[in-house]
Order: sequence, then C-alpha cells, then structure tokens
Amino acid sequence: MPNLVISNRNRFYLDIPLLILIICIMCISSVVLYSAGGVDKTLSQMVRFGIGLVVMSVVLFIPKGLIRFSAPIFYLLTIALLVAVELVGVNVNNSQRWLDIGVTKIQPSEIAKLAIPLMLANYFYVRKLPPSWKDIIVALAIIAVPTGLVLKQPDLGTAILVASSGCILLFLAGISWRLIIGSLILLVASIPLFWFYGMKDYQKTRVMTVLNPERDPLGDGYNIIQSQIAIGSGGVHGKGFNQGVQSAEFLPENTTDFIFAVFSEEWGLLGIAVLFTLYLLIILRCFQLTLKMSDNFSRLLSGSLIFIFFIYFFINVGMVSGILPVVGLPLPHFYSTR
Amino acid sequence: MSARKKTSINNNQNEIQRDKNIQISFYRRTLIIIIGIISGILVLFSRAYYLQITRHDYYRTRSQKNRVKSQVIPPIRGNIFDRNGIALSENILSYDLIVNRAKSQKYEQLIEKINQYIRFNDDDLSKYNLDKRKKLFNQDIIVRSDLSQEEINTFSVDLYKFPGFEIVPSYKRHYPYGTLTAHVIGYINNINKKDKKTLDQREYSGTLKIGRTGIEKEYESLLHGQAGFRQAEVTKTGRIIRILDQIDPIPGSDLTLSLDLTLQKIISEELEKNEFNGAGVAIDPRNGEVLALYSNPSFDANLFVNGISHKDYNFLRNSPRKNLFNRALHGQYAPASTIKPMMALAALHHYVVSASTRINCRGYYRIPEYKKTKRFFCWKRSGHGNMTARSSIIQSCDVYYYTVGKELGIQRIHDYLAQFGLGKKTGIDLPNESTGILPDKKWKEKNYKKSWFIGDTINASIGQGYVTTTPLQLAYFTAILGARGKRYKPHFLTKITHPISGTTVPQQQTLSDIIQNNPKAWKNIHNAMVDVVSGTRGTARKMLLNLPFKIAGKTGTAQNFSFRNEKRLKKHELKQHLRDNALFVTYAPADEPVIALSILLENAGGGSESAAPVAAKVLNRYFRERKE
Repeated sequence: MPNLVISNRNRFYLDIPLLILIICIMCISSVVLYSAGGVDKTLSQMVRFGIGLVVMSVVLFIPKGLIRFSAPIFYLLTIALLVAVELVGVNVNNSQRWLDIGVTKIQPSEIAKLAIPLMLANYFYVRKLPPSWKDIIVALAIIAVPTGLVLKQPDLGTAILVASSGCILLFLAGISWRLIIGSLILLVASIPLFWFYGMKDYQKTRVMTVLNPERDPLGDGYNIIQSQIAIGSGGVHGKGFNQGVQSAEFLPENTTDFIFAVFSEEWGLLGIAVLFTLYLLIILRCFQLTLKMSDNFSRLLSGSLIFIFFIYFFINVGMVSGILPVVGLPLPHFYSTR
Repeated sequence: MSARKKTSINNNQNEIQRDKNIQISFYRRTLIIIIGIISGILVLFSRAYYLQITRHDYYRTRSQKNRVKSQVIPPIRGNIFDRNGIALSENILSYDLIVNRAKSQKYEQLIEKINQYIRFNDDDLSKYNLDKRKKLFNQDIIVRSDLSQEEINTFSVDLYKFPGFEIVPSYKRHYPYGTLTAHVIGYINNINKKDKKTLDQREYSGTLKIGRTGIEKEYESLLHGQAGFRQAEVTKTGRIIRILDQIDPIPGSDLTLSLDLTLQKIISEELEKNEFNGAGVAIDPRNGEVLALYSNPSFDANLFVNGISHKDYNFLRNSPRKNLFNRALHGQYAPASTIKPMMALAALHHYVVSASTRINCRGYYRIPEYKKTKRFFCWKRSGHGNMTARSSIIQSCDVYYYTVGKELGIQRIHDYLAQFGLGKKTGIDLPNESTGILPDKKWKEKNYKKSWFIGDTINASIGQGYVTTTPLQLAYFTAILGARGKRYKPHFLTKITHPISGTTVPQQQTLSDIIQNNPKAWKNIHNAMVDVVSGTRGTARKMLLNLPFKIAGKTGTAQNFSFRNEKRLKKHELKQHLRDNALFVTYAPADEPVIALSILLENAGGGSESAAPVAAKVLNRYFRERKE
C-alpha cells in the first residue's frame, strides 16, 4: 500500500476509495482462505491484515521529505544486507536468500524492490528531466548493483522484478524512445543466449512445464494441471462457497501461492471478473493520484510501485492459470505467508 | 545588461516549457502503462474464459474422474514392557465416529441426534468442536472416539440416516498402569505446530501423536517406527478404489525396561497409605538398572493421550499435592544426614581422620578461629560424647561432621561428593532430569554474588544449607555405596526389539570406580550403615524389618524451617509445610546388595520415625514377592 504514502499534500492524506477497495480484497481473501485453510488460518491471516493496516497508518504520518532524505541510506543498507546474505546467509534449497537476524529471518531481496525506486526517484528529484546520458548511466548502475547481487543468490524471479522496478521508473522519467526500443531489441535477442548459458536446469524445467504440463503429470506438471482443472471445473458460476473439491483435495499450497485456483473453482468466471475489476480499480485510482502529484520524486516513485504491484498480480494469476512458469510470487493483498 | 536579462527570461521560459514537456511526457507514458496493464488483465481474463467456458466440459470431466493420490501410512508405535514382560503400554484397536462436512449436507442437525444412539455429552461436544476448528472443510472430523461394541451395534443399524458419517478403526495408546507409571513412561499426545517444525515431514505426516514426556519422549525415535507409503486411485471425494503401489510401514521397536512393576506398586501403596507426598527410587547396585521410580501422588497418564479436558487439567494443575510434579526426578531436597557416609569416606580418603580418630561431641560445635560466633548444634543437645567415623554414622552425630567438614574444606567436599553424582545429572534415560546442587565457592559467587563463608561449609557437611539432591540422586549414591565404589549409570532401557532386525541390548557406558586411599574405609562405612539398622544405638533400629538377612541404611531429617531461638520444636507444634522432610536410604541385602532404595517423604517429620518404617515395609514386601 505504498501508493497511499506519497500524497499530493505535505500533510498526511488517506485516500478513502483506495482503502475501501483494499479492504474489499481482504474480505474476499478471508472468505477464500476459510474454505481452503480453515478457521485458524483465516484468523491468523486477519491478524496480519490488521498489522498491515496499522503499519500503513504509521507510514501515513511520515513526512515526504523524510522519506526522500532517507532513500540513499535505505539503499545502502539494502546493499549491505544483500552482501551480508552472500557472506553469512542461510542456504535453503541451494540458494542463499535468507538472513538470520536472531529474532526472525529476513529476505533482503524483498527490500530491494522498494529501495531501487526510492533511490532512483531521489536521484532524479534534483536533476533535470528528461535525464541526460550521464544520468542514465548512473541510474543503470543504481539498478545493476542490487540486481546483480540478487541474481547471484540465485533468485532469477526476484532479480527480474528488482530490475524492472528500476526500468519502469526510467521509462516514466522520460528516456528517449530510441533507447527504449533499442534495449528491448537487445533484450529479445539475448533470450536464446540466456537460455543456454544463464539459466539453471530447474528453471528451464519450469518453463518447459508451462509449455507442456502433461510431460510429467505426477511430478513437475502436477501443480499446474491440478490448478487448471480446479479453475476450469469452476465454470461461469463456480461450485459455490466451500464446495471446492478439486483444489482442496488435490492442490498442494492451496492456501498460499495457488489460492487463486481455489477462488476460481468456487466463484467461477463471475468471481474472477469482480476480483479483476477490484484490482484494476486499485491500479487506476493509484495512477489518478499519481497524476495529481506535484513533484518528480512522488510521481516517479509512485508510478513504479504501482507497476510492481501489477506485476505481482499478473505473474501470480498467470502462473496459477498456466501461462507463466511457477516462480512463487504471492497475490498482493490476498495472502502474505508461505 | 538588457541582453543578459533577456537571456535569463528566455531561460526561464525554456525551463517552464521544458517542465511542461516533461509533464506531458509523464502523462503520455503513464497512459501507455495503463493501456499495457489493462491489456495484461484482459489476457488473464481471456485465459480464465478459455479455461472456464471454452474448456469447461473437459475440465469438469477431469475433475470428476478418479485420480491417483499419494498417502502416507503411519507405523504402529512400539510397546513398552517391564522387566518381567508386563505390558506398560498397549495399542488398542478402537472405533471412532467421524463426519466429513464435504459429504454431509446437514451435519450440524445430525450431530444433535447423535446422542439418541451413542454417548455424546457436553465434554464430547467440546472435543468435537475443538477438532472441527482444526480441520479443513473436507477433512474428517472425529465426532466421538472409542465407541463401545454396543454403541457400534446400535449406531450401525441407522448409519444410513447419517450421510457423511462413518465408523473407522484406529489404534489408541493405552497405559494399563497409567497412574503407577505416569512419571516413568510418560505419555503421547497430539503433535502441535512447534513439533511440526522439527519433525521429519515424510515420516510424521500420517502420525497424529508424539511422545511428550518420560520414556515415550526419550525413545520417540525407537518407538515411532518407519512410515509406509501408498499410491491409490481415489474418487473425487478421496475414497480409495484401488491400491496401485504400497510400501508397508515398519512398526516401532518394543522396549523392555528394567522397571519392576511389582516394586513400583509396593512403593506407591506404602507412600499413599499415609498420604505422604514424596518419592521412592530403587536401583540395582550391580548394574545401574532402575527398578522403580515413583512420585506420590501420581496421575493417570491416559487422561493426556486424547487431549485432556479443561476440568481434569485444572484439577491436576491446581491440586495442592501437585500430582503432575515428578518429585523423583525434579524434586530437589536437602539430603541431610544421608550424605554422612560419603562425608566420612571423604575424610578417610584425605586422611583428615583415621577410622579410630575420636571427636568429642558436647552437643554443639564452635569454629575454632571464631570462638565468639554462634554455635552449631548437634541434633542431640546433650551431646554424643566421643565419636568415631563408625559411631558418628550409627548415631548420626552432627558435630563429628562439622569438625571433619571444616578440616576438609568445601572444595574437597565438593570434589569427592561429585563422584557420587551430586550436583549433576545422573544421566538416566528420562528427559529433563534436575541436577540438584552441590555448592562450592565458584557456585555461590555465580549464583548469589556473595563470597563463601565458613558457616556454609559447616552446613554443607551435614547435607543442609545449599546442598540439594533429587530422590533419584539419593538412590544413585546409595547404589554406589552398596557396590563399594563401583559406579553404573542409572538407566531403564535393557532391551530393544526391532520387528525386522530383532533384539539388541543397548551398551551401557562404563564409569570409573570411586577413589579411596584408606583400604579399610569401605568396610568401615558399610559396617556402620548396617548398624544404623541393626545396632542398639542405630537411628533406624525401630524400623521393624522382617528379613532373613541384614541391610544397610542411613536416616536423614531435613529441616524446612530455621530455629532462631535455638530450640527445636516438636513435630505437632509446626505447621504442615514447615515440618521436616524425612529421608531414608538403604541397600539390601547388606553383603550382596541387589537393591538400593531411597525414600523421601515431604513434611513427614524425622527420617527414623517416618521414612525408615516405610522403607522397611517396602523391603519386606519386595523380598517376600521375590521369593515367590
């Protein structure tokens, strides 16, 4: 909910329509979680929603100037944490993403998604737009350092997300179309190169599985097949609240990454239409607020964060409905734990 | 001048123009992103449309078809036996009534009718509601467990009226001697969230319960067994049609313990006769096998297996007699005079005294360097006269030990008594044993931030002050005394019977003997402990033994109250909880001991008047049973 933070006024501002939209999604989430995970999971999820709302209210009162001022500090701290992960991180499933700070474990790559837009927005705040060549090079460096560190963990999904949070900000800052089109061509051209040299075997398997899940129906393809059966068997109206046999019985992780399948099975295409509309309204309302903002810092930061929000939504729904590889990104505002 | 001004205005206009351009560019690019996002959402929606409308029939059919489902088959838990092969745990086949909400439309209304067929009271209802909260919508909820045969018969007839309800078999852990063995065997109960984090997910995914206390916890890995695995074709509601592949589970190992249920029962009965709170522990001095470990009062371990009800738990927790507290393992009591044989051994070992050295007891002791400070009294105010190591044990003279304790110093006392297991865990195979306290200077500085006083040494010399021991430790050092310095780690497990690889006997690690410089010391102390019971002046001469051989013992009376006016009060003059703890340790038969026994009774008065007679009754009955 960072979109509420950077308001067009200096004093705090709470956008009621946006709040209502978010609460609507939280309510839907609780209902779905009840049928997928039972009372206990629903209650603990509601507690986390509560915590989220409290944190949001606190953030509302932080002056914009302070946020801007602390951006470089936050950025350097993120880099320090990423380096720390590299040196003393906890190794889970052959990738080093977690940092044990005693009380709890944290994943610094998650912070990087916030740190890069903050730092870039702060950088362009004092400079003239559209950015000069020199500024673009500095900005790319700001993006590259944390992206490289995340890539080294290795965590391809998050690295792409981290990089795109910066790139979309560059796009909004007004870099020339020639540059954009040029780098897009370069990106497409490098995909084969990347496939053969950059990607690990398990990553390739995930992509192959999307293309043909029936390749290994009880192994890698299992989740995708089961979630598609769940969604597909839902039909127009869905099977109704608490009637989702398919997703409940045969879909692992049905309370986490694959919760959208449970929702689709029980509420059908009509439910999906309502849910998508809610997400679209959140995004549109955020952009509307962004356009009202007066300074570059707020506009750029806010614009790129909304985009990241959308990316989460797109990748999660895409992965559950079987058009994107399984990368383990959550559905925003729908659930928060693994 | 004016030219410069003009440029500046031009610049300003440029700035404004540029800002405007940037704003327009930002608007335009935002619009591009919005269009991108909307088309992205349309892509996702058309994908959903494709799955849910275009291919709905295909997926609906697939959803209704049978599928392969993998299941873990939990192993049957190993059982626990006493030394004579009496089963201390059982897995009883029992029948539970379950309901699956996904298959039952009106289960809430049906539940209300259940009590027309089977017992279903408020207690059962609350257990059912608890289970319902934990389960997912399509998981089976236990409506009531342990149906009787009669209930099964009555209900089966009308089961068809209850769609979604089923009677299913399952194994229930039962402890035939639940109250007698609760503090040894412990119990199993439901696996909780915290357990799940540390447990092997594959092995435990079909298992509902885990060893929570006692032997059940200590040997969880042996008792659990190995989970099996099954791939089965199931209907859309999960009912098995055909088994495709199955690896059978391997049941857990059976454990045989050294525990002698008969002795355990004798101790429990003798303690409960006078409603004593206390403990009795018996060890075989020849090998360290624990024959009995009982804490009175006990509780029925079976109450905890299926989740204890609030009423029962509150009753046990608030019980003034603390039923849940394992006094034998966790109760830490001043050992009092029972440490005197070890103190005498320490003094003889360090040549502080010889066996014939006489120390005069005038009823009190003054520290030689501090003649003007307070006196330390002997329990016998009139004094014992001249005491040797032997007579000081028989009559339990305090002044003798004040004197040798002062000469030994706390460090030598600490080091010698530590060999007998004081102040550290005995290493018994039960979880969370307490260590008791064997103080020295370092210990006091660490725990009290105070330096050691000579008076602390004097108090420690007669097993008072900071010194505490558990009843298990009392039995352990008595076993060492009985074996004349040979040490065996106390343990319960004597045999492991694995269903496939057969029986193994766990190896016990060997411990070194206790060092003693004086060659006559063991015999001397042994004779003294025999005369505690048999001598005309022995403190335990009135314990009423009825045995064909002699036994050795030592009484102890631990103060719970300090007497400021230097005058001891009579037992009936003190409030219950301020009365002395009574202790008696013994090994029997004296010459070739087969049992070392410690009896501790809270607030029961003197060791010779309360604890020794209880020990006598236990030994009388135990040896009579052994004969038969």
